[in-house]
Amino acid sequence: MPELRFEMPSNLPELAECLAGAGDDTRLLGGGTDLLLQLPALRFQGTTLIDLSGMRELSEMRFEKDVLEIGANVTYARIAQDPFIRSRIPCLAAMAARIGSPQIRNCACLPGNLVNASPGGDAIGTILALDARVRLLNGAGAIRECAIDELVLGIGKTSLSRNEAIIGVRIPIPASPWNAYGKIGLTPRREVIIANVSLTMVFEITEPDRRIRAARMVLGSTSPRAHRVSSAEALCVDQVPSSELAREVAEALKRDVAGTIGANPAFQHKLNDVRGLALDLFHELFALEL
Amino acid sequence: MPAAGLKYIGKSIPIHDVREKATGALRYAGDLKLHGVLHAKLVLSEIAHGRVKHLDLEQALAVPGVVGIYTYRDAPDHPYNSHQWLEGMEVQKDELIFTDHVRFHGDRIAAVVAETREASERAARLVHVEYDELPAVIDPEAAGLLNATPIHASGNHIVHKRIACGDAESRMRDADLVIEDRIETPKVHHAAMETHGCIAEVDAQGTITVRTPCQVIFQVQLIVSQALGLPMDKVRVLKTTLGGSFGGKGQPILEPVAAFLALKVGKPVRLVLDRTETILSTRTRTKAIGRVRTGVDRKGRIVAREIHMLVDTGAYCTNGEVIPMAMGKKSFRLYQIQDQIFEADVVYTNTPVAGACRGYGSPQICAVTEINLDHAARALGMDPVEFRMRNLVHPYNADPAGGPSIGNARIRDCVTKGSDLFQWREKSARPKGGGRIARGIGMACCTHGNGYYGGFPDFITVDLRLTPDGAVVIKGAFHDLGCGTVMTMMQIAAEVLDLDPSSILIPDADTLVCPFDSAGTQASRVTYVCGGAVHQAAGELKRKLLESAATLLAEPISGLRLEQGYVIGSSGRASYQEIAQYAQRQLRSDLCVNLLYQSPGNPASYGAHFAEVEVDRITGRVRVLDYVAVHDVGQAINTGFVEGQIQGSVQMGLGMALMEELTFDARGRVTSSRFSRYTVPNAPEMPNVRVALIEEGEESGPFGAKSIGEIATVPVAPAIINAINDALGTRISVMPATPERIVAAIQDV
Ligand SMILES: Cc1cc2nc3c(=O)[nH]c(=O)nc-3n(C[C@H](O)[C@H](O)[C@H](O)COP(=O)(O)OP(=O)(O)OC[C@H]3O[C@@H](n4cnc5c(N)ncnc54)[C@H](O)[C@@H]3O)c2cc1C
Repeated sequence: MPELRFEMPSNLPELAECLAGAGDDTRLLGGGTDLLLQLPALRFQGTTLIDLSGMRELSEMRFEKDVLEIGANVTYARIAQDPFIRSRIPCLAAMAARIGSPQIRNCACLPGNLVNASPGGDAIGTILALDARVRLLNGAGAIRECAIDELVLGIGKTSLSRNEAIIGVRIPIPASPWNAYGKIGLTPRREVIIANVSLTMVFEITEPDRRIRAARMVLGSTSPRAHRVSSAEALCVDQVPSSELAREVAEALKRDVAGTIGANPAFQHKLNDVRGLALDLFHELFALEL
Repeated sequence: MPAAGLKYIGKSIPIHDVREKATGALRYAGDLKLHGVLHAKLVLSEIAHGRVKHLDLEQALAVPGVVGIYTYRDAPDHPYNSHQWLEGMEVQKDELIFTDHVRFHGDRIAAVVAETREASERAARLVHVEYDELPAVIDPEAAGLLNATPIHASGNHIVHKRIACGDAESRMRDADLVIEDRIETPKVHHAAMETHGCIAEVDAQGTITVRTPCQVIFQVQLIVSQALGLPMDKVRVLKTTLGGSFGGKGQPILEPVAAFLALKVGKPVRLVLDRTETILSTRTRTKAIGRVRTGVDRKGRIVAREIHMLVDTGAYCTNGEVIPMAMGKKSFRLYQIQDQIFEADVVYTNTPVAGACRGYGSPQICAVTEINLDHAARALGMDPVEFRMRNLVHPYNADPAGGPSIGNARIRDCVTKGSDLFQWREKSARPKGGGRIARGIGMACCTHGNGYYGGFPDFITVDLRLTPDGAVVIKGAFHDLGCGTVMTMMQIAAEVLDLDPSSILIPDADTLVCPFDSAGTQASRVTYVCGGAVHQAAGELKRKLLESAATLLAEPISGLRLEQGYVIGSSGRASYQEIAQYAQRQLRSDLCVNLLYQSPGNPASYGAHFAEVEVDRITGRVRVLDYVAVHDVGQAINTGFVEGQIQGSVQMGLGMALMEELTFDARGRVTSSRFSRYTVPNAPEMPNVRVALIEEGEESGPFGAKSIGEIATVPVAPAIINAINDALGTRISVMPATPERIVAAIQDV
């Protein structure tokens, strides 16, 4: 029987050492909530797992001036419960709060979602909407940073090389807390769902005139990888949030989805969901009657 | 609440194995470690219909640890029907252990036996099967067509059934309005937490012992003996702890396979399925397409009804010939309809095999008829509750189709109590909401049976014994599926014998140890029939106990009474322990009873459910906001269990209403064979389910009790669908009402 090998570095130099020796059959193990599903297959072909859970330094969240750095081992449960994130980056807290179930959120972390690169990966869209950057360590011990759309390339595809690991995600802290996240499931259930559509909206709004200066809107689950919808973003610039704006944005997002899904009958319901979801987020952020 | 004058009946006592379950000490079949056990893995068909052209085992046999691979070439050619539970029952025998004519995605072709689970799984993946694919029949409405590919040599149409009373055809002409519907219910997976599995071993004398989570030990014994061509006494069946069944483990599926493999390899064989295998290759709820025409007059009386059910039994018949009768009988026992025709046609399709599933056809027929009745009420401009109250049966009404007495039928009390609790009147006066969110209310009534009386032989033999240490041992083929059967029996015996239930022992069912039972845990018969047996046998034991006590205490029986493990007389008292020992020593007697109990009847159980929903008109998403379930149970033996059954039933019915469905691709392959694609409702979907019981007693039941476990899931889907239709003004006719279907229905309005 092929072997299952296990490595457990406890600091960055040890991790770099492990990465330097990584082969095609090497996998990094984060929370394991995606990877362990593949384990039966991996076991048959022989695999080396590099378990990151022993690396204390990756379990930290650090706030620097206007950037939040989330270590690779920080679980969704911690992100969802963090008071600062909840008040300043509510879209991130909301996204984390709706990953899987409590059991999943107690194990799973951001990097696994990015590397798994599923079209339904919820973190990818929110991280993209927040214009975050990913920190990577390689086998030579060097650290580089890249944007999320440089990392995630397509379904199951990333630019990560086999001797690289994500060690953290750096998120610019939005100047104002006008951001929100929502998802509607592929199945009729409300919780423990894979997204049929997910949506993150990040607004920059100036007081006191309450005008939107800039908007970033990212759709997940409607294309091979999460993407920004510039047509919807453009509608918002210099506008005051209103019911009309909400409806226009909902229509723009719907048109975008129509363009990406084409005629596939299995996807048509995304058109209804995206409209509903867009109105939900406007309602949540601006208490508009919709 | 304990009933007046009763000590244990009506009390909530936790299930007998609660401690072991909560601590994880309990062992399920998949956890059992037998010395030298080998592991089996099935090779299942990847296509919906075809012939196996070639099986290449070479690579699989080369996997280290593989002991053998057994295929349709090795398995005995003794067709059986896994639904048969009594010798001599007439059934279509169309199943085999393995087959080269695969009839559904998941049909069994072969099995690998290996020293480890890993090796068996690895080898099973390396068995290469080449098929000659045949056209797959997925749509039951197409199955009977002349050009449909035959699934069995006998064709795709299995049977036509009919039940009728009065003259529906001519009375229909007198109706002021005739309301017609075509309503479809889905093929659903039982989704018990424990997947299917069992262990078989053969001893030196060639006796096969099968340890299995099952509902009917004697049925497993019968089917294994038939499939292998062995005498029944060469097969012993031990029931293991069940992690849920809901009918899914009612028919022996893996037991003949494991027994065959154990015979082949001469060692214990463990065959445990994963979730995907359980979804594909065990049993499902029968899919049905109902057509119903209901004739009503302006006063809101039902004057005639015609029902036709098209029953899709999947690739093998199993209970396909019985389930339409189970459906049909219910439609004569809920409303006073003197002129009615029920007809059904049963067909094969190339889809996973249907079998028993909580409610046994009742949820399907109830959905068809109760959704139709709401349409009738709407057409009459009448409140659905008021409309039903004009037509529901009264206690002891005769069954116009000639079925057994419906007994103390309290459906009208259920509806009255439920409407009050739910505040039906207030809620129906509320606006529906014209914006994005619509609100609506719906209700449905239901009936179900209590055993097989009037249909099949229904009797059980039980042994009760008072041991010399003062405990009571009850031997009978009881199968606790996780819903509290054992404690229910204990409470019945405890009440009769005035003995704490902790002093009563009921071992797990075992064909070698338990006296015979004609039908097992089926047909909602356990509390009413098996409980009736324990009740009567405990009464016999009490009589014997008093006789011995009378000699011991030298007092007449008439002056004696039982109290908490003692017989009390006017001059003294004796513990049960002393009396049992005295009987053995002085009377050369043992305080034991062997009792054959024949079911005295088949009264109907009833229930009425009420649901309030909120529907998002844009996304078609439904939230069930409020739910009331009222059941006529005669008398709750264990109130906690009864409520638990109802709560769980609502969750199961909500799944059928809104999300659960086996789906297929164009070639008939199942596209929902795992829980990320087959969605069951989880806790956040659940409204607060408010439960109320009508306990007016059923004379022929133990302490007045009748069934609850199946009936509670029967009216859920129609209550919810009626609420959605009320909110939107739609006529949803296909379940589950998924968001897509709801949005489409809104567009049709
Ligand atoms: C029941 C259930 C519910 C779920 N619900 C959701 C949901 O609602 N939304 C959603 O988006 N996902 C969901 N998922 C998927 C999964 O939980 C997420 O994708 C999660 O973020 C994966 O993180 P992990 O830490 O568990 O990754 P792992 O499983 O440990 O790893 C996943 C992949 O990433 C790689 N990897 C892990 N860490 C690193 C690293 N630091 N650097 C480089 N590569 C790395 C691994 O090698 C592997 O290829 C669910 C999964 C389950 C089982």
